[in-house]
Amino acid sequence: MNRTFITLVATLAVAIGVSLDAAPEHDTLNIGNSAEPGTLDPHRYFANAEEHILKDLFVGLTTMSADGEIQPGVAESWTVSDDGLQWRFALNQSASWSDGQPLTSEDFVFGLRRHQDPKTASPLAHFLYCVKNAEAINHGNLPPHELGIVAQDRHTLVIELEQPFPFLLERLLYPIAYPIPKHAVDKYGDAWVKAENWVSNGAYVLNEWRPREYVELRRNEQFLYADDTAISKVRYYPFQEPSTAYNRFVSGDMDIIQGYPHALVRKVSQERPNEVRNAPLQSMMYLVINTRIMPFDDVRVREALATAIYRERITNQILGVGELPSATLSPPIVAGHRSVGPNHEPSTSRAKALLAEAGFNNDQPLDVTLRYISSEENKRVYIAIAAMWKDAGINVTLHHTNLATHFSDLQNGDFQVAQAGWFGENNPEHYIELLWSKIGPANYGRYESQRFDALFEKARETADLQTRLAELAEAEEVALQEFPVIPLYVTMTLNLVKPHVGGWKTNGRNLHPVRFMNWIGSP
Amino acid sequence: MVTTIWIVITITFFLLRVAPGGPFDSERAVSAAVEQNLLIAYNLDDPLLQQYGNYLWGLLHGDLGPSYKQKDFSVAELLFHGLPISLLIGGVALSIAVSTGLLLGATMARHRNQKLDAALEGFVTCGLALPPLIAAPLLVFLFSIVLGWLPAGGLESPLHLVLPVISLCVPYIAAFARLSRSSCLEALNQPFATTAQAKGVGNWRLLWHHVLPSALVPVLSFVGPAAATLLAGSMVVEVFFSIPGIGHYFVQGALDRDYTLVLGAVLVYTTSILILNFLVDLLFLRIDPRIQLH
Repeated sequence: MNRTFITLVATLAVAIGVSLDAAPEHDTLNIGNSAEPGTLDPHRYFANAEEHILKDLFVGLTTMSADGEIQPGVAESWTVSDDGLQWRFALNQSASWSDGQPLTSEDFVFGLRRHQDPKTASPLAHFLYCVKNAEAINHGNLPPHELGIVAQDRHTLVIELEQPFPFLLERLLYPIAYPIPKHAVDKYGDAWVKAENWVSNGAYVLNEWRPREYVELRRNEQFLYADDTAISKVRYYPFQEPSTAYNRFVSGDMDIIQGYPHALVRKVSQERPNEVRNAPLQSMMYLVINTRIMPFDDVRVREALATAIYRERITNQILGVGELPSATLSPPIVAGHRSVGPNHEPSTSRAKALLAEAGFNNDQPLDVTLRYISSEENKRVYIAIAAMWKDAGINVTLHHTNLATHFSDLQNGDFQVAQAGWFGENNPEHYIELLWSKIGPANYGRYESQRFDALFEKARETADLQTRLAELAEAEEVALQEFPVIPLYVTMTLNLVKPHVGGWKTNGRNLHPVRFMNWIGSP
Repeated sequence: MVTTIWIVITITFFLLRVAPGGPFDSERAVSAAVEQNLLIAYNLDDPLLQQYGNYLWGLLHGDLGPSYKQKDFSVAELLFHGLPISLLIGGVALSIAVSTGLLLGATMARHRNQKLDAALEGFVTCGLALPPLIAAPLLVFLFSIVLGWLPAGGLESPLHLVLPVISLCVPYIAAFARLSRSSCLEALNQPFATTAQAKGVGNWRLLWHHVLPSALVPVLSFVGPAAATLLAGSMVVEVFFSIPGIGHYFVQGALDRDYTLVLGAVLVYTTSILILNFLVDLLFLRIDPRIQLH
């Protein structure tokens, strides 16, 4: 009995030892992704977790460098007409699909038409409504072949726009603008996204997808720059819980994780300074006010709410890992940001005075329900905001729900003041347009200002970038004087990267193509 | 059985639709036209009763529908991938929980009111107070982070099973130990046990051959629901150890309003409970001759 027990323990110890000694080879890069991807069909994609993988699988007309700059993708060069309505792209003649089929302008035409086809039901179809007839096609009023995109020859593509849009090259970075292998879609239908049928044109191809376990990619030998791709295999592991990702990073299972608990930032920065890669995200966290209901239709009430908030206290004392306070809805870190916020320092006494003007006082205080998405980080921020408002004599009720319920309530106008956020592009228009009355549900507060709309619509018709940026700044300043939203701060991305991974660079998009990474020394 | 499943599915179907929000609500607001395209693509624009009828019709033909959130997989594909993993982890945890629990319970009964009984009672109380939510982080911190002996998550080798299985089975070991201790003590006071002792049957032989079979009945009645819970997966353990079982789908599916995925998971869970309860009833027949099948 004793001998058997000892043998058993010894075998187990050896097994554990062998397993732990078997350090990972320079073969597979293990990345902790923020969530399970919902799809790898670029036209049906919606979430960041999908974009992280798709940018390794496909390359669009334009692509991004390791530090997030726009650079040529399949298109080698491009020109734009003087009126800004016609973009002509010259495609790289060596481009091909992973199965060796040549990649031509027809693949882009097929892709962009499929993207706007209502049957595809692309959740981000509106991102390319700037293309001529796109909106009408997506609404089912025109057939997809009416889309303003033409394959002039096998390697020349022309895109016509409804209105000038100088940010088109950036918009084309989104997976929705990737080419789609028509021959694979024709052959396999919706099953073209299965690993066994997979065809793509990026640095990697899909090797295996085990739901909620990992997505495995392998190097695409047909890729335009395959010789420069140093890492042969990549696995994206989904982590719903950042603490799990952190545990697996610390225990050596993961080479990179895209997110770890906010509460650990200071500890990790001290213990792992060589691995911390935190950076500001092109984003804005803000409060949206329902301008259609009383008393929040009164600009004095909205201004009082804004004036009572001390942003620096939130970013420095509550969050404190580099978040940037912002008085404007367009993040100060994006290219071409020019606007300035309302010219008021935070002031509790001024907030009280404004409330008194609006008819609120200690006997009849303003009641506000502040809604936010349930999370530990949010809880700290919104309790702090509630405390600041209470100092100004406001009665605050905090209400938190899960993400789906929160945004459903926002879209239905079922809120008074609520947390909101927006992220993505390196230009101010992407954020300022949230205040446009015609933008749809994303204007949660149903803000409508004829003056802002007129200025914003004028900017939308302007082809010259510098003029357009100036007009956008003017429009934003006009809107912010009416306090439809209360901008708070630019949020941070929290990444950890092992020292043996080279080529990883922080960028405002928080997208990191593996094709630029390499191994340094031994893991 | 079919009626029970139908009732559970019907209640779940309508309860899910009562919850605010929908599968396409997120921080990136979509326009009304885009949302309409999505609803049409997934037949969610049909009247609710028609959707219910279509779902039942699909179910009768073995079609659990598409997942609204994991669009590249059908619900059946997701469950087919996750169920064996949940069964493996749950099966190992259940086997360990039942066998260890019985062993501990019998030992405690054998040494009742002695030091060993008190020590094991202390262990059992600790076990009951250690749900996976507490046990999992503690185990990972100790065995993965500090000692570096065991993986912190994933499912690449049998070693990866160790910590999730322990987290999962500790409270059940404790529960089974408590149950079997009290059943054994009750059986030990029965006349047949006294007779056996009077005949000179040894303590351990008395326990294993005479007392345990009789004490098994109340223990087995707990095996049914415990097995269904363990085999159908645990959300906490799966999320914490990144295990792709199906327990996750109950909670995350509900939060995501992925209606068909939750319905599929509920179907698996309900069927498991019904089948396991039936199997336990059959075991009763074998263990306790007083029970008869009518």
